Amino acid sequence: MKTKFIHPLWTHIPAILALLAAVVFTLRAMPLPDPAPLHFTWSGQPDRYGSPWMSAIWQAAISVLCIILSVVLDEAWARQERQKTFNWISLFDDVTVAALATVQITYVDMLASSNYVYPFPWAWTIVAAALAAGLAIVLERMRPFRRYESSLVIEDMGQVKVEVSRIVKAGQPLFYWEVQNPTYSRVLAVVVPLLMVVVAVTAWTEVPWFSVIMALVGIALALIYGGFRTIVTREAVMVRMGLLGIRLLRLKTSDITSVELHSFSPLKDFGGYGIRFNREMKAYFLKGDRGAKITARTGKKYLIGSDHPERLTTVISTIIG
Amino acid sequence: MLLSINEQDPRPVYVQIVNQIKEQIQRGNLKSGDELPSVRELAASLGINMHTVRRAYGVLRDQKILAFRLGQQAKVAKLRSQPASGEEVAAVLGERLQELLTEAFLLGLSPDDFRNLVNAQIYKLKEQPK
Repeated sequence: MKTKFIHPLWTHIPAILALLAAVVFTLRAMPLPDPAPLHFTWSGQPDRYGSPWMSAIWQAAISVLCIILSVVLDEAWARQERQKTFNWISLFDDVTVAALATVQITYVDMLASSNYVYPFPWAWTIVAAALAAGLAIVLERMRPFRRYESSLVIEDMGQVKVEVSRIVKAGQPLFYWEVQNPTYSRVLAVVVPLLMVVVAVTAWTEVPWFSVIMALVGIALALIYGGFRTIVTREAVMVRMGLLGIRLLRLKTSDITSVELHSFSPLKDFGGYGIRFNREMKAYFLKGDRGAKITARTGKKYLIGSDHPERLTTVISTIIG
Repeated sequence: MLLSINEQDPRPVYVQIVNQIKEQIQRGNLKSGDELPSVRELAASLGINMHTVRRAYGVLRDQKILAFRLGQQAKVAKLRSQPASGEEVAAVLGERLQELLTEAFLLGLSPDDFRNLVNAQIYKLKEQPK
């Protein structure tokens, strides 16, 4: 299924331009001295040496991560908008990448001058970040408002109800299955871990503890590959996650007192996507703004996000009678 | 995706799974690229043997309805954009159609009755909610 971005990708142009500027400046400054100073004291004196590419690879990798994260967050913001609002989070990648690019450019400039003293360029960094923020604010204001409609299709559930009733009355085993595996979660599970492994390998000789953390976080992210799966049988409603099918929720159908269709705002009601809590309920969703709200005999409430919330609600309600 | 196993049905369980997955695709409940449950997950939930599910998935893969490689999640394959050639239609449907016509004849149906039956079934499929 094709994913159309509601939040236009051109709003990330300042970040992409800053990244390209740093890459081009670094490539034009070749050949760089090797070994080169990599770390500096507060006064700007070098205190550790290594390959000059370390800095370039780190800056590029962290910038790409910031841009990917920002695309995901902006898209999540745009999909829950009911009217145009100014998304301050959209400035995150532009400011961060511009600051990183400034540090990289001034660092390469210092290497090219052969005078290895590098006081941190606060002024240039602040100016570049402010310029990027200014351009990003203009682009965010220019961004058109597009209402996310795909989850507003109302399905006729009469036939589903008849079918499930027939299966339940006949005492046959039943299996209902749904997947929420949006593009951003695939990117988080595949692209980001790969980038983290690259960073971990390049950093291994210099900062091994950081490499270990990056590798562990990368492996943890890879495990979310496959998204959330909702399974309904005659006996239970289950939500499983990721590559290993880790069980997030298992509710016996005999313990469910009611189920209803529920609309929500992912950001306003739960502060994001994934396994979320609020005062009323525990929720499991990776996309969309509708789902099945289940009330258990214990009084606890659970929300299972769904691409077909009417169907999911109908199946559960028919099973519990 | 909604599946169930009918123990009263004389057809083998794997055939029931194959037919139900095809129906879900035909109704639009499953679309090209949609992921299917793992063999283990489906077998455990329906209380059937894993080999049965594996056989059903294998049949659907051979018919190019599912796409998967060893160890990969099964997905609905890209559906045809063009109707199959006359030869392929004859190879896949010819024999079964002949069987149905024979059954219809033995039930005392005329060719017109059979045509009406087919038309009614097509109309029912079109009207069926997704």
